Amino acid sequence: MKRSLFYSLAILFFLFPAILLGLKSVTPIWRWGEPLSFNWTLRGWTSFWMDDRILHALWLSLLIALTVTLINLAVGMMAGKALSHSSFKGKSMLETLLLLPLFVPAMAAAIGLHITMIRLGLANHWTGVVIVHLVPTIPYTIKIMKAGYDRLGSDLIDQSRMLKAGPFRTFREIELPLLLPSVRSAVFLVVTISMSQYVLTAIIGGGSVITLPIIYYPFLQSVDDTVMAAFSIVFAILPVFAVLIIELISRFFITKNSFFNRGAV
Amino acid sequence: MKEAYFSLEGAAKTYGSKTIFQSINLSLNEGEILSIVGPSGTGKSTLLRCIAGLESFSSGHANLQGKQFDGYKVQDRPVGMVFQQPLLFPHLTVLENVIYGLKLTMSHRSAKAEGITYLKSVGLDEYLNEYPHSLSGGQQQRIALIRALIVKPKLLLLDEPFSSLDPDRRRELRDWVRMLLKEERMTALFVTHDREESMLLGDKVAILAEGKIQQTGDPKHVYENPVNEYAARHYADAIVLNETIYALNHDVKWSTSHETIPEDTISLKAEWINQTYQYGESYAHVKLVETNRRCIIPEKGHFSYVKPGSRGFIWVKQRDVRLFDKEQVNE
Amino acid sequence: MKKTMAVLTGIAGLFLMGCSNHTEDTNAAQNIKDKSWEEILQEADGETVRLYMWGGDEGINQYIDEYVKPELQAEHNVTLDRIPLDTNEIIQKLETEKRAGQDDGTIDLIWMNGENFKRAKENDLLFGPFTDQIPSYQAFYDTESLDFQYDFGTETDGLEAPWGKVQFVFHYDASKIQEPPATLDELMKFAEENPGRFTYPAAGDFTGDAFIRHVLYGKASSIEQLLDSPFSEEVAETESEEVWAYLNDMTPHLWRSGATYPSSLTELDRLYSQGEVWMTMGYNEARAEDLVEKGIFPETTESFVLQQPGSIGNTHFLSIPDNSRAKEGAMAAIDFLLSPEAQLAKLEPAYWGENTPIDLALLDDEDKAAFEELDRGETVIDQQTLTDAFLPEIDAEYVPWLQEKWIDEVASQ
Repeated sequence: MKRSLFYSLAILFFLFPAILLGLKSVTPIWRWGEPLSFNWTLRGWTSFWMDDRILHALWLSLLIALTVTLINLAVGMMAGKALSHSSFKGKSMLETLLLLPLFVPAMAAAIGLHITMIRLGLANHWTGVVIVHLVPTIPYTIKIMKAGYDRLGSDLIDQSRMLKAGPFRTFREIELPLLLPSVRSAVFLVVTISMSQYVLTAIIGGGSVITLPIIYYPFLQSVDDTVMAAFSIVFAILPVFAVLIIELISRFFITKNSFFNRGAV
Repeated sequence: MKEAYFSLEGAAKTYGSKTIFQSINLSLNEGEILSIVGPSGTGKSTLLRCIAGLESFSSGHANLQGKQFDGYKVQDRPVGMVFQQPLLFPHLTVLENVIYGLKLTMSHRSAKAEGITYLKSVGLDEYLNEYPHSLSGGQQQRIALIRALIVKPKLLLLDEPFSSLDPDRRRELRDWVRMLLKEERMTALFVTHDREESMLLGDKVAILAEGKIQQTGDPKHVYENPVNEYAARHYADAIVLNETIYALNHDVKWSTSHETIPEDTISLKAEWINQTYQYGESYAHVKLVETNRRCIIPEKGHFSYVKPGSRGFIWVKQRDVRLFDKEQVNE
Repeated sequence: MKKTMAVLTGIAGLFLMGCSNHTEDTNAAQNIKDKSWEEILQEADGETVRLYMWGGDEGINQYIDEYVKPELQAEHNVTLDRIPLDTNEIIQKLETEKRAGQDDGTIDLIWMNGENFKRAKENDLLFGPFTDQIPSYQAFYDTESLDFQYDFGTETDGLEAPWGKVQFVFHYDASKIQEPPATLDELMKFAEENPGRFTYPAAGDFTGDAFIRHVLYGKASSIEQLLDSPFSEEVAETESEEVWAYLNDMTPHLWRSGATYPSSLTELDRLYSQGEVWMTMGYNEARAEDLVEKGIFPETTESFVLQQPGSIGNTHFLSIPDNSRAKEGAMAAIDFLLSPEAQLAKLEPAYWGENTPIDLALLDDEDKAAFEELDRGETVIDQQTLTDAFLPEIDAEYVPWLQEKWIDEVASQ
């Protein structure tokens, strides 16, 4: 009963809009009351591919998003673990401080960071864009990883260490596999946020770093639903793709038997 | 006296200005099990965590086979530990859990063989490929113990390993654990707040209260000869009369009125609570008016007419009053 | 935590190493003024010019990528890179770079006008004056024209060269409306007779603001006074009284009885494309052509301008940032973009379809004929009607003032 409810809700709220979006990207505009006609058009997709930089932009967006994600996971896990498992003076204050970047308007942050990036020589370069994308993402990742470590608790980690596993092996074989759900949420969120940064990318990348949103966002001010649907589909697929990549990396990294296989008889 | 297999010398732990325990001295011979018993919140778990290396002593030393090891990293200490919760890794099967600690020292194949052999020998091999969540609490704790034993630590720490189980399982598991530890000739420190449990498992018993080891010795001896009021309260069945004297509960009697108390006795005002029956004996539960402490005394008389809450006395003959033997802290 | 810091510093270090040092040629920038056009073209030869412009219209993008790029390469050996970026961000970037003292910028050419130009000029972000050195500007444009001397009331001072011009028009569905209104009063009458079929974007939207300015022009005692004198709150106050009365009278007849307004032109266009309202509008007389072509607007879409007060038009321009590294290349690009051939191609409805600021009288007969004969499409009103209705823009300071007033006087009533 519950299961069928879940599936019908999933179809209604997820599958149906997705299919509708797909249909919209290959059909001309349809007006209320008009009979349903199926005039297929590839105009949405040809517009999408029109800009010859789109492929490069896709790869660059993905590269930036994945780099941002990896830095996020590294920092988020260390900070999340520290916030969750150790107690020190001013911990709750630090936790609040770490959330603050989320409340700074993007434009204000962008201007301040732009000057710094120019001085560091990172403006107009994709690495600079990576660094500014950390601003709106790191707070979320720390929050997610802290919740993950809260849920995991320190007992299993202690137990692993009591069984002669060092910190690295404990991380790889216990923490990482058990935190995978949190890692997944963080990756999805970070990739989506990174891939939707227009202002930060525009200012810091200064037009030298052409990512998907730089090409895509101006089209949001258009009434051409067919083109927008095509862009939206790509925009929605990219995070899924990125999550798959991260999943593959972590699979490779975790593989619980790899340790055993080394030097097996 | 030959050198002890395992010893603690002047171990202490403080958090800021708060002292958890101090000047802890303990020693164990090889193959011996020591029960550390004491009320909750006296730092028993912290003591074990410090020995394990999960926390560090503020001062003092831990030695094993003449080697001081308190400076080692957790994974380099020759110590294993079983926690209150089974703490099986939920994403690994029973077998993978059991051989987790063997990975460093042997190949996967021989570790697997070793794990299977061990599980067979204790009759748990039917769960080999199950995941922990499909096992009962008792089974999980058994696996946890095997997981700790299979790496053959030189010292095993058991931190109230039965506290998460229901009484029946607990009793069953205690016997099994004791048998297994003895079979393996394991040297172990067993922490509990349950006196009966400490007697069942420990060759020796140590009473940890007020941040100190109050008394160490053979369970029966400690039971009958507490060295101070803490030992008396937490281990012996004794009523502390003052700092120097006490009376064993089985020498104490109840009287409803002052007139019925014989001569040459010490009496205390008490409030009647109820009467219970166990193992063919009857016991009176009373509360001392002065200290508000409850005590249970064997009482053959029938007092069903006494109303709960009514006042009376407990008394003990002068010749049964005992002196705390403060000299004899350790046997 | 220490470890985290160490890792981060390490990463930052790697990034720093990966950055190249830009070489600059400030000398060249300083004496461009004294160079002949031939010398400038020589410098431009082989340069890459990065044109930063809003990128939300395929037609415009295609015009640059498919026509201008190869032609410019062939004519001056200048490589053009089109960078899609909102104008606001472009100016923001230049401002910050100026504050940080970065004199080797990445922007060589900007497309802008109005408020953005004012901001850029006031902050000394622009290179110039340079327009007197652009041959095609000198040859084919009426350099004395006030349209080029002023940009929304701000003197251009030769810091920007006119690239195109647009005029405000209304679009309507001819299958539903026989005779489109020609005056503000007729527009009111249309709204009354067809409740819910007309609305305009809320103030704050570029097009909504322009619509309100039309009402201001129509209700003011004298358009000349508005145009000639700089912004003053007093004049604005008295001249705008009837504007609010007019808009408030109209409110109950609007789409959803004026309870809400479309927040952007995109929304109004969507309502129109769905047939909910029968009119839309826009600050570009040719924009409906492409939308009809794509099937977004109904095929029966036609355009009109109000005879009274008329149709506001404006010019948009090309500028060169002061920290550009390819100023000569940018000037060569501007010369080409302003040339009759490039302007003619821009007028093609297949690309952009946008009107030219060129002075047809200054062209030779062949070019002139080409412009006159070009069919801009059925939805575009003929040039004569547009020219007759043309009204210039007032001081840019009216725009924010009207926005605020509209919210107080109309939206919150």
